[in-house]
Amino acid sequence: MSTPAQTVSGAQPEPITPRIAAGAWYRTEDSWAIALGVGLVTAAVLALVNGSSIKWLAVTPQKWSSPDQLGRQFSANAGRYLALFVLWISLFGLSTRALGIRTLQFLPSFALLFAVSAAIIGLGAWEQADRYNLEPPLVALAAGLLISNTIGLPRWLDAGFRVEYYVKTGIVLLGATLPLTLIVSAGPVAIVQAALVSLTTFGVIYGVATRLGLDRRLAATLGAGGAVCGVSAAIAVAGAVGAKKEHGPIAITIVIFWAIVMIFVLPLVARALQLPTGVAGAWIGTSEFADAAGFAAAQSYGGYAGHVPGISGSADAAVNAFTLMKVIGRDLWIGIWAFVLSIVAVSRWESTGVRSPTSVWEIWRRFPKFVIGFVITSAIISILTSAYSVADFNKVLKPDLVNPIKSLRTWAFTFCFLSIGLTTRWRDLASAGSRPFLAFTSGVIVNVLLGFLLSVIVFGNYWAALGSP
Amino acid sequence: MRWMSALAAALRASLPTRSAAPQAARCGACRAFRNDPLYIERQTPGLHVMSSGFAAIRADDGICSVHSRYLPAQAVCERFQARITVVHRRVR
Repeated sequence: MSTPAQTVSGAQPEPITPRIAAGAWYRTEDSWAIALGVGLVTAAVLALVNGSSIKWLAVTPQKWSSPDQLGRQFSANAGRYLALFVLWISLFGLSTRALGIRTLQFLPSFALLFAVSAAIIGLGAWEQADRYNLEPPLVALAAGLLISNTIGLPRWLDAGFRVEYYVKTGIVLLGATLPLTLIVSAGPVAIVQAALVSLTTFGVIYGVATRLGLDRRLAATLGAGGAVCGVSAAIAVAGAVGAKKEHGPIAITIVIFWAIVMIFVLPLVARALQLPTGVAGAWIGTSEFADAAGFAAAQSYGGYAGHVPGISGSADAAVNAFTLMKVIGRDLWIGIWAFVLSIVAVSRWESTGVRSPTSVWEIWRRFPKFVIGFVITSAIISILTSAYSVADFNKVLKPDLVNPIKSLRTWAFTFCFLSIGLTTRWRDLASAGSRPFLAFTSGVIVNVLLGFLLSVIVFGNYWAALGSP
Repeated sequence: MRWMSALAAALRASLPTRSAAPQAARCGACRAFRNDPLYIERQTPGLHVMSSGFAAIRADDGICSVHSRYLPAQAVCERFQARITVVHRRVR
């Protein structure tokens, strides 16, 4: 986006900072996540078609029972890990450079992220990991939180901790393992369930906030953060309604607090109730507040399948149900929320002295475009697999195409989970105040209970069947 | 019923039409407005923890230092100040 400027010859110099075109396609992580995800899936398909596979590159630690075994695995596959590191750092390094992030800061930061992620994925492959609840997403998050809030890391290292970029890349890769037919068939149920919960949650937060005397624009920002897609929804709606500069950070602080609490609480409660993985995934998708946090919870719970007695379903079912509920059911509609609230703000609320646009283009402008990549990769693999029988799929496609893509996804998500912990510094977050916290917490209580009711009781059989073989 | 007619009027106004405000007079061209992603991340504590200044949903919103608000680049107000580009001339 170019910005018009008035040229004054010989004017007094004034401090003008460089302005980066925020809206250009190459300036968004969504575009690069689509490019990387679709590019990797296409490369995997081309390799398969040519009688090869990317599985050599998509390496992850295998099950081990003693540290020596793990050490031998790493040394035997050192070349593969090095190649994978070079691939990731090249892809993410070049794309973040295009975004305007300093490469000299990104490279060492990402190298650290990769090394710690390798250790965490390795720990998750320990045979006793389930016994001690050492699920890689939770370990990554807890380790990151511990480091950032105790010893701390230099600020410039944040250049490589791009939570949103990694989770979007992971979601685009996830599309390759989610059949398009499942998205089409389960999408409407997810949309209905999510719509019920989102509208109710927004109503509760907005209603309580305004009754507590909070500014309507802050109430809407809080409501969107709780009802739609967490921090992203809060910042999108803050812009759409023209909120005060401090409203966004207030909502963000509360969303982060509850999102991190829910990462640990939802899988714990679901485990105590022995919910099937598909049901728990749907509940997490309905009641978690941010994509990255929700994937951590859903992937952790999926890891219980086959390891924790009483929990039925497959590991993928938790992640698939979560994705359908969160991405298709909630994230997709942020543009409509922003559009409607921008109209309400202009027509019903007190004037701010600024006239914000209320065009229907708002829906597209705020559309979470990484979802397009998710659908593209799903379509690519769905079309390819339609030509194979079930036996051939299990014999050829699964080991040579699907599993390597899953491994790459595991890496992307681990980068994300670790980055959440490493960037969450409680002392740096804005002070939220008791009234916004109370309003948001009211929505959390309603959201979790209603989400449980719909996921477990009303649509329970449906989500449980999603995890059936 | 008044609010319904106000909402209907706003909906009519939302249909894509040629805007009365010239492109150059919108917030995106104002010197008080900044929307570069890294600046937004610095000014919005916690944004990069679970979202990003580079997210597509953020569109081209930015911070107005006059109104202290987070606004779309297409917004307009009466306190618009055109951005100035300084041209340095060689002194002979």
